[in-house]
This record gives sequence, structure tokens and C-alpha cells, in this order.
Amino acid sequence: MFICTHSVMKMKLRYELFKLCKSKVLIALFTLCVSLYCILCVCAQPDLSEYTFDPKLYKMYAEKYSGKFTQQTLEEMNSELEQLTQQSQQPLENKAFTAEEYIKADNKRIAAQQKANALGAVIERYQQLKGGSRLVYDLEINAYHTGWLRKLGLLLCLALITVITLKITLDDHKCGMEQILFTTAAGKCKLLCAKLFIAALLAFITAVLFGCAELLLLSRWDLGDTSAPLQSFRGFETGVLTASMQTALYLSFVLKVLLFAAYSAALMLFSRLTRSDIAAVCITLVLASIVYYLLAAAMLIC
Amino acid sequence: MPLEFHCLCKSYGTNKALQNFTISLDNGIYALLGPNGAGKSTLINILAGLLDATSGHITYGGEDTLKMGERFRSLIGFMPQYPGFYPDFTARQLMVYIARLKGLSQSDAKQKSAELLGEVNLSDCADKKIKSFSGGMKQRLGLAQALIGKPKILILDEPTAGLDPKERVRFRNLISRLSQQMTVIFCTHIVSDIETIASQVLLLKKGELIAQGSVGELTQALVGKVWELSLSDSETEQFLTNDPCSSLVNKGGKPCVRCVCKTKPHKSATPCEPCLEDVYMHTFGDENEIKI
Repeated sequence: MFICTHSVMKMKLRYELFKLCKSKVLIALFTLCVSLYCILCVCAQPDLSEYTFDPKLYKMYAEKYSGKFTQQTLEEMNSELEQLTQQSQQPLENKAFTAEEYIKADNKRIAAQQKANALGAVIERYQQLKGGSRLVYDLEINAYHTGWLRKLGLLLCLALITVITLKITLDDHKCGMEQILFTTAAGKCKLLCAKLFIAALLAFITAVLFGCAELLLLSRWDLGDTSAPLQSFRGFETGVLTASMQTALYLSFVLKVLLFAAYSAALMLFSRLTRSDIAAVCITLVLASIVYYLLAAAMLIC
Repeated sequence: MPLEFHCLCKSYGTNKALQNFTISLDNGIYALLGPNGAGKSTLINILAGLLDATSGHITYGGEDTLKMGERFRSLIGFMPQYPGFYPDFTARQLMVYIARLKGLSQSDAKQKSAELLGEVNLSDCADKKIKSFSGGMKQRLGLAQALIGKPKILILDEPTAGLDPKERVRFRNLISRLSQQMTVIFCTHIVSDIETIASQVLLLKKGELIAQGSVGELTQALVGKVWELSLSDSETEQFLTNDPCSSLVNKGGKPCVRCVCKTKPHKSATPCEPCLEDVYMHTFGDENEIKI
């Protein structure tokens, strides 16, 4: 009886999902990882300790002086900075204040100092963009300071994809079903293609779930004007990609998802060759690291 | 349609697992008999498509089985030596899964699965998880899945290992009934199974087919050469040491030695009817065996 590849794919997908759902440990692990990451994404606070300014004040000045660099704008900003600096350095000791007046004056001085810090950072940024893109509020200030969480998401996603792929690839071999399955009409070739497709599909879905959680994380914070060109954002000033930050975010999401699917396919290939979980994971991680550094080097050059 | 092996060879490095295996098989039951490492499992795995031959080919109805591909696979049913199954599947779920991979529709798969589980006496356990099955139950399930799709060639590797005598009789009856419509090839160490049902026995040694024939033909060659003798304990020990092809049997509560020899080996020896086990011991018992 002839059995087409499409039917084999459908059947294999159904039964592989059925098998995966039967594995309580895997289900629990998957649910735990995704839930944990989503909860952390909702609760996480960015680490802004490196900044000496208030992000809200930074945003206020970035919006006030938004636009492309001009000498006139720079002079205006420097003038305002000078005024704020004078206000913050005004001595209070020689003046006759009541306690209440003293507190008010001191608070004014502190507020002026904070504004001066924020404006100083904006001026510094403005000068960096000199001749380049326009000044906008930068998502780097807020949203990207949860880097530890995004790395955790990457690791969790990678770990889950590894477990799922190895389960799909090696399960038949470990329990002794391969001999029976490969002698059916479907045959070795169609069954392996079906497994590859399923592993890549499940990796894709897992990566999408984690990617959506990351977007949820980023959307909690002020991303600034993401319709601005990519070159307006820190680290991308000399980037060659002609797109808005929003497009770049979506593109990086798609790229990440595709890379995870490719990782899953490579892992499946090596696990079939080595017939060993550990060897396959080691080889694939080494390759993934090489690809990662090559990509990073390519991005640096671009 | 005849299943033909043409000079089939398989080497693992310098080790020749199969050498110039050539034979033509029709419908019937063919038993592969030989010691460990004779090439039985290698032959079976090549036939099932799990291994590639180093040289030679197999044809079915004159057509190369490799070129037939899926068409040939749809004609075979394979039961491996130690069948492993998904532990969290029920017997019914597994049968339906394999039936679907063999190209049956959902409804046919369910119907055939129920029928075959009944044939192997697993109907009561059809909805129990396979991890709760005993070894014998797994063997029966292995046989049932091999029979899905009414294969024309049934390949069984140690099919009765782990079965109790009642189940072995049931298995023999089932295979005997089916063999009229298909070619059954099975390898086993249980000589009594072969004696009961095999129409042809193929003796394999170090990858070569050294003899073939019905049980009667093979044992006929040893007529007048099989002896039984009662000896003292020390004489028995010495006899067994000197002739590794001999065996110790229990006759009426008394131990006695059974051996194959052209001439009467001892004054107390009495001739007896040869059986397949004598053929096995004589052929594979020792490297310096006496040729028939």
C-alpha cells in the first residue's frame, strides 16, 4: 500500500505529540520553564544602577530637543545646562531660611541637579549622533536593562528545544521501536524527514513562545519612538540596515526563531549520527557557539 | 512469488558475517539454525532492509527488493529479537500506529488490530499500557504487529523466546496456518519449534549456508550414526570431555550419553533415531566434527 510523505508527516506529528504529552516530566518541565519566564517578564525590574540620571527626565529632554543635530540646538542645550548647574550649586548656608523654606530650596537644588544630569546625558548622546540620525528616547535606557532575564530566556528556550529534539530523535532508538518502524511501508527516509520536520516545528513554537514573552517584557517599559530609524539607537549608529527600530525588533525575533529551528535540525542530525544524547548536545553547542561568534563578528563589521 | 538471495555477502571490516548466501524460497516456513555469530540476524536484517549488504542482492518475483523500496516493505512483516515498544502506549494504540504506518486506513487499522490482538491472546490487555506487560506478552505483541497488513514475507527473530509452552503451541499453530499464503523465515535456538513446523531448515555457520533440507532429510543423513550409552559417572565425564558433540540425556531417570559416531563408540551403545538436535550438535558442536 503506497503511503505518501504528507500522510506520514501528519501521522508522525500526531503520534510524536501524543508521545510527548504522555511524558509527564517533559510536560511539567515545559510548563514550569514557560510559566517561570512569563512571571519573571511581568515582575522584572531593569537594573539602572549605572545611570546617574532619571530616565523620565532623560525622556523629557530627548523629546524636547528631538531631531537631527544642529549647532544651534546644541548651544540651546548647553545654555540650559549652565542654568541648571548654577541652580544646583546655589549656596543656601548664608541665607536666612525657615526650616520649611530651607527644605524647599534644597529640594529645588536637588531637582535642578537631577535635571542637569539628565540633560548632560542627552547632550552627550546628541553629540554622538552628530551627522547621523535624529535624537530619540532610547529603549536602551530602560527596556534593555533586563539583559540577565533575556539571557535566561535564551538558555531556557535552548534547554527545552534540546530536550524535545532529543526525545523525538532518540526515543525510538532507545525503546527499540526503530527496527519495527523502519521496516514499515513508510520506511526510514520518510520517517526521518517527518521527525526532522516535527523537531524543527516544535523548536519554532517554543522559540515563538519565549519570543512573545520577551516582547511582553520589552513592552512593559518605555520603548521610546520605535518608528525612528535603527541608527538613532545606541549601538546601532553605524548600522547598515535601513529600517525602523520596530522592524529591526521583529526581524531579530524572526531570525532568532529560525536559528532555533536550525539548531534543532542540527541537533537531530548529530544525535542520529552519534546515537548519543551527550555527544550530540556537545557537538551542536560547539557549532552553535562558532556560528554565534561568526554572526557577532559579521554584525560588528556591518 | 519466489524470494531469491543471490550471492549475498556482508562484512564488518575484516569479519565476514555472511558469505555468498544463495537460495530461493517459496511459500512455507524456513528456519534458520546456527550458533551465535552464524549470520542469522545479519541475514534477517538485510532482508528487512535494516542493513545494507556488502555485495549481492535479493529479488522478489524477479525484481530487486532495493529497487522495489516501499512496495517490498509493504509486503514484509518483521518481528525483531527483543521487540521494544513505547511504554506509555497501550497495545491497541501501538497496533493502530503501526497499521497506519503500513498504509491502512484508520478504520481498517482499528479492525485489524483488534483481530490480531485476539489471535495472540492479548484482547484482555489491549487497553493496558505496554510497560505493564510481561516479556511473553511483549513477544506476542511483537508477533501481532508483524502480522498487520497480511504480509507476504514474515520475518521472525527468536519469536518464541519468553513464551510458555501453551503460547508456543499457539504460535506454531498460527504460523503453520499462515504459511500457506506467505513465506515465513524465522531464526531460533529452540530446536523443537523447528522440528514441529519448519518445512525447510537452513543451517548457517560462520556466515555460510552449509546445509539445507527438511527435518527428515537432515536427520536421515545421521541414521545409524546416533548412539545412546549408559556409563558410570567417571566414564560419562570423560566421554563428554573427549567428544564435545555428545550430550547428556535423561532416560527413565538414568543419565545416559547421546552421541553421533560412524561406528559403535562403546560396547554398551545402542542405536537410536536421530533428531534435529543431533544434527545441530554434530554440525556445530566442535570444529573437528565428523562430516556426514
